[in-house]
Amino acid sequence: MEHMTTDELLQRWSDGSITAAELRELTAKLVEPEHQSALLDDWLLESSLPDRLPGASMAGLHESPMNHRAERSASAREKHWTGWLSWRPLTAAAAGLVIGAFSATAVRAFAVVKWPRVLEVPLGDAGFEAGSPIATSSVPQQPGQWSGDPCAIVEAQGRVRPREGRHMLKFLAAATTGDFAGSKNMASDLWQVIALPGNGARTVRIRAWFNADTDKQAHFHIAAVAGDDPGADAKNLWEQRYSEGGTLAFARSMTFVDRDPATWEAGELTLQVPPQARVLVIGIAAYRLPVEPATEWFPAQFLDDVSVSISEEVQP
Amino acid sequence: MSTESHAIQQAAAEFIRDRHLLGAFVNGLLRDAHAAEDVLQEVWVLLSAELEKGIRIENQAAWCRGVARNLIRRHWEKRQMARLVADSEALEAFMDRVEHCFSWADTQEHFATARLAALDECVASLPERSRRLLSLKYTQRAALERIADETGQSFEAVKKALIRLRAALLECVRRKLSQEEWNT
Repeated sequence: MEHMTTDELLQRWSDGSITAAELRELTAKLVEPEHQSALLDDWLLESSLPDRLPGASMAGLHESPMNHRAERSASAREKHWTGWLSWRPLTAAAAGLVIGAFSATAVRAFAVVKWPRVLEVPLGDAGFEAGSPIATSSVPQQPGQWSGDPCAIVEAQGRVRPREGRHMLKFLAAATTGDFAGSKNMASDLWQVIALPGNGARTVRIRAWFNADTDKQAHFHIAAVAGDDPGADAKNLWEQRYSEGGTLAFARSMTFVDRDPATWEAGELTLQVPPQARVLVIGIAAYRLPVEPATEWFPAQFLDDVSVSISEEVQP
Repeated sequence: MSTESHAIQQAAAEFIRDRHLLGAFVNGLLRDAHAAEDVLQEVWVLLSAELEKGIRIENQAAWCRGVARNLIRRHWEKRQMARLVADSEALEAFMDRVEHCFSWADTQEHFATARLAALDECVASLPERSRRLLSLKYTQRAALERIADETGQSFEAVKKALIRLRAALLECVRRKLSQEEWNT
């Protein structure tokens, strides 16, 4: 067998072309400090490069979508991480942790950004004030309505008061049908489809407020997936969210709430969508640690005041 | 502030401090940036859950790598990466050795930060055209076919250019580090 250098073997590992024999050869080499350093340097470079490079114009917006200029500053690369896991400024009594947006966006457009035009996109019953019941079903087929796993529109409950208005949503259960096996123990899902206004590359920002009254760990997800066909099956679009090339853009963020039911924590998600994006499926979920049996009621986890805004890149 | 939240704050600070090496471990094994981000998030969720239960974790970096390793294994199985899973013995031995490399790196002061500072300088010294190529691959995460379209080069030319650029960056980082060692 022709022997390869460590860098060549690492390259083969990296591009997935390594054979079992080559993997054993690489493993054997890694006994030597020199080769250990080579692997560490190589992998550190590979994983760090995205944060150390000046992005194209879209990437500038990605870091700070609400900025009025597409700027790349030295601090932008830190923002990338601190957005991902950062300490929120909280009251002294309550520590809440937000794991912010991380995205698997597929942006296929470049644009010279002049200024963003920010639009508030109307959501159906964004504050759950209409009092209309939410259908217990999968992703809705029509824009402007919620559907999801069992939930209830409630007024103040115990120590939790709505963040705005008189009502809020309480997640009740993880439905055990119609989803991937095993994933419906931990998550109680809620969805809404929106028609995306605008024609250019846009940055969508979704914000929702969360609260919980429980001693158990409770956290929440916001996810969004963009597609190009408003007439397509929204459920199918949602289910394609993790498949490469199956959607135009996808992102997800996670929010931990504090243990103070008197305060609400904001979760936020930013997603860049390309010009052909016409429809967005928003999924909001309450998460808990796995329980047995899975049908056990969720701890008191609440959602209120969901909003969506879009910054559209306006060409000169 | 409760003891629990204090423990989580401390863990988060440590997690943030160690993020570069943990990220390199996960991304290096998975070779899929999106999946690596998912794994990192899940590691944090599981870590915070353990701390919430009052469990003390002696060596957080090693614990996180252990959890990440299990998640990566599960990812491979789910994706039915048959060739990898089929030769699980070779893979396990490789992962053990990789784990050993990263344990060693944990003991080196400023291991990641020194390299990243050098990398920043090396990236800054690249011609604009090279930085753009790297941005398309690493920031935009564009497929090679798309990069070829964007840059008007052939697929093979892009592939080779990226391999060369990466090698040049590695070499540059190593040179800067040895220069620093020499200076101190």
